Amino acid sequence: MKVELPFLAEGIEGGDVVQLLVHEGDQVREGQSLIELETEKATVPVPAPVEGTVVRLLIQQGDHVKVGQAIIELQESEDKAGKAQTSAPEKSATGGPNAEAQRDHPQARPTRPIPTPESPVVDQKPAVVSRPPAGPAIPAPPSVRRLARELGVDLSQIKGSEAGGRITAEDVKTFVRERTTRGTKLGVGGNIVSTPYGSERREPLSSTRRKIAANMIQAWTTIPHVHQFQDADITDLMALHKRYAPEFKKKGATLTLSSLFLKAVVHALKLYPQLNATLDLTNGEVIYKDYYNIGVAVDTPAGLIVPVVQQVDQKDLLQISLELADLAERTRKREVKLEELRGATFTVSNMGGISAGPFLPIINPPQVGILGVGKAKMTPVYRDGQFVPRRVLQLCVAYDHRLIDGAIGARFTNEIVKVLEDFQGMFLGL
Amino acid sequence: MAESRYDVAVIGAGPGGYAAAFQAADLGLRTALIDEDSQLGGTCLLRGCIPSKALLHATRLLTDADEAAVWGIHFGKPRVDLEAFRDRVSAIIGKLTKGVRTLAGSRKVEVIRARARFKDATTLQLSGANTPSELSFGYAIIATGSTPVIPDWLRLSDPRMMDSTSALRLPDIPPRLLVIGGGYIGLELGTVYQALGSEVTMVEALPRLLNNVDADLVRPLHQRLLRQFTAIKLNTTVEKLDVREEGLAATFTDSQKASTETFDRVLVAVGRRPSTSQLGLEHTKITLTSKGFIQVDRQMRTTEPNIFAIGDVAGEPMLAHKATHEGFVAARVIAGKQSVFDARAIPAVVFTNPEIAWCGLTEQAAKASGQAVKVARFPWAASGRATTLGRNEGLTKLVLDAESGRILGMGLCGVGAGELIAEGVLAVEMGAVAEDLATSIHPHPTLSETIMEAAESFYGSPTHLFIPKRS
Repeated sequence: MKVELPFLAEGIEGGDVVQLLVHEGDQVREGQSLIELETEKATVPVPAPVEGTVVRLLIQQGDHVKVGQAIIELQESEDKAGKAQTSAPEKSATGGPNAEAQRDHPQARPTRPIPTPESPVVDQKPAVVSRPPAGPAIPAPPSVRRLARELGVDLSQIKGSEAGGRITAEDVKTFVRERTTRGTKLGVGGNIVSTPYGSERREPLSSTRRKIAANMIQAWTTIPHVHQFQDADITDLMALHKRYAPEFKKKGATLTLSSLFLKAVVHALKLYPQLNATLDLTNGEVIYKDYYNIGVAVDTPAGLIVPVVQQVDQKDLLQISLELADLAERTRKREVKLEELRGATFTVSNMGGISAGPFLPIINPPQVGILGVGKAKMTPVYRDGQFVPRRVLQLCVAYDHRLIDGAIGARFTNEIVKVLEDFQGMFLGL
Repeated sequence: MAESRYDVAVIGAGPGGYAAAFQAADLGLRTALIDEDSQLGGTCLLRGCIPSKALLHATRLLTDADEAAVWGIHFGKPRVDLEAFRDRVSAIIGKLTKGVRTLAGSRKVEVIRARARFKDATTLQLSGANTPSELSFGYAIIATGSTPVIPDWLRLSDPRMMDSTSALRLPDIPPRLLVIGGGYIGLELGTVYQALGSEVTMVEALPRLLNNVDADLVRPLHQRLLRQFTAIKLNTTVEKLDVREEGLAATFTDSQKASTETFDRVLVAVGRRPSTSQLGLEHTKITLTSKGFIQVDRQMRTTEPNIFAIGDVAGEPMLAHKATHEGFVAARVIAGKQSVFDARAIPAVVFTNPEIAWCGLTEQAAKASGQAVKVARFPWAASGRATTLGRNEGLTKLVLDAESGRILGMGLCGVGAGELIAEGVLAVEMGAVAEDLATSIHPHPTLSETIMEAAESFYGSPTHLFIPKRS
């Protein structure tokens, strides 16, 4: 019979084999520990379900084993007698003290003058541990050689990572991990894993995704965010947009709301330079920036990428619109250059295009603020004694509360709203 | 003693046997340590390493006092009280052997004084001090060591004939001593007797002293010995020994002629053989190699799967520290642990003056196997410390992988070489490269700097030695 890894405890789906407690040919009692398994919760012994002889070990030390996976082939005791007569090789118990049970039943051997008791053979194959092979020794310290032995790793298969090809403990562990992974992939169904709850598919993380994950963790765990919501009535802005969009079109550009947001943001940043800054805690300084480079979040098949429109304050709307369209296009095609992704002082993330929002944006350090824009909705607004239909945009500014106080953040947000609601006012210097 | 049963029976209480027994006991196995000697410690402690090092230390005092004249320090002629000398050596042995017994007791290792002989693969017959009895075991470890070899034609029943064991007892200071065998035992004991005042003649059948040792390392020792020994006869054999009233007459033969000289004592130090007889191995499946060692695998397991063999009886090199580590391996394997003897560097030390020590790959072995190596040498003539000691004859040598600079072996000749070689063992075992040794700061002024500077020369010129670049 094949002994499968039994259900061990709620929530334990498998573990790493720390130690094999039996060898091929060993006799085991019911309940005797076969392997020691290291699970997320604890190291647990796995017992033999029945009495019998170990025919074959299906796993090695260091393997990852899942519940239900076969670990050992066991010949049950009933037919053991019959087998013992047909198969000659003397293999019996190991583990020293355990071996004595057999010696109580001496068995005469005709070829020997003295009746010799069955010897407690551990392993009859003399070739297994022969003298070390000739040739250059593999550079690995004794502690690493022991680790390799315990994990069943052939050091000659590992390329050492240190000077002179020296193999480290980490190299051995990496090798074992990769071996385990390879094993999984070669297994039934590739990297599809079945669990008690259904099947799952495992895929490696792309490097972009790894980077995003690391950045997000850093941003979310180190920056105390304040999220400032505000509604902006963009009915007039949309009228302006409608009026001038064809003009832009003639010049080969698309006037988007995003370009208008960039202009509004830069206007507000100039009034509140704390938001166009970086916090330098190491030196106990604030770095105020006299340039206004705005990152624009772009949704790409590979994940979120934020190219940067440089010097927004020195460009007119036409220029910004042209640049933004070009940048977004090249970003989606992954043709954007590395330097075009760097140097932003503030970020704008617009989800209006996918009819979403409002939402809480996360600051992209070392910046200290970000504008998140949702979808504009037609809303009844009470104005001059009556409700009128207005196009209202819900936006949210996130700012780093270490540097920016609530009042500043709120005023900054209000300034953006003010510009969006009265774009001409900005040009008039109001 | 009634029949008793042990998980592990260790036969022989030398540095291999007692280490194995202690390890087995520490791993929870019921262990017996059997030796026919009343004192524990085996050859190493009782008639080998320890007494010889005590003698060498004491006689070094004589040599140093003699050489103090170059500093303007003059001692009178020393007087040696041989009895006190012997007592002191016995006291050292006594202290150490008692220590081993105490350790055995605190680990609950049963020490049995008896001669053991296999009745079968799970039973030992014990004879000797106690009434004959039997002992049954799950596993046995044979650690019976080795004994000095005396060729048949040199086997005379004359009290003036000595092997290493009797020479260590220091029966007297013979005016004229013949040492047969230019290996490490002959050299060490020859050094002792020479310092005590004997005129020492050394005979070696092979073309040089310490024939298997790197010639570069032997050279400084050889030159010093030429001044100290009366004669060093290489390529020479002792044809026969005649017992005469006035001494033992040795007839030497070299390629040209035969000659005869008379000596007051003769020390035969031509080698050691594994002690496998009288063990009852024929009652087991144990087999021997062509050289008479017990055949073992890397786990120290013999061809009888529950019996292990370690130390001198299991193969060369016959060194105590090798035996100890093999003992650990055997005990761990028996306890079900993953263990093999896979040492990359077994250090060897010849405790002469100067000492010679080496470990790992030698230049000759590398050449023989065709392995691409670089050899880095640092002569002690360039060592400040060696100069203060007045011992510039030494040499430090590294054998490195030609490409990576990995340290594959180290060799030293010079005072304190036996202590210095430990760094080489660590370097080889850890897979260190030349840069590792060269950039590890070594204390100044010490002889250990010669290792650092030899490593530096793998790249270019070490600080204290200028090596012109080869074009």
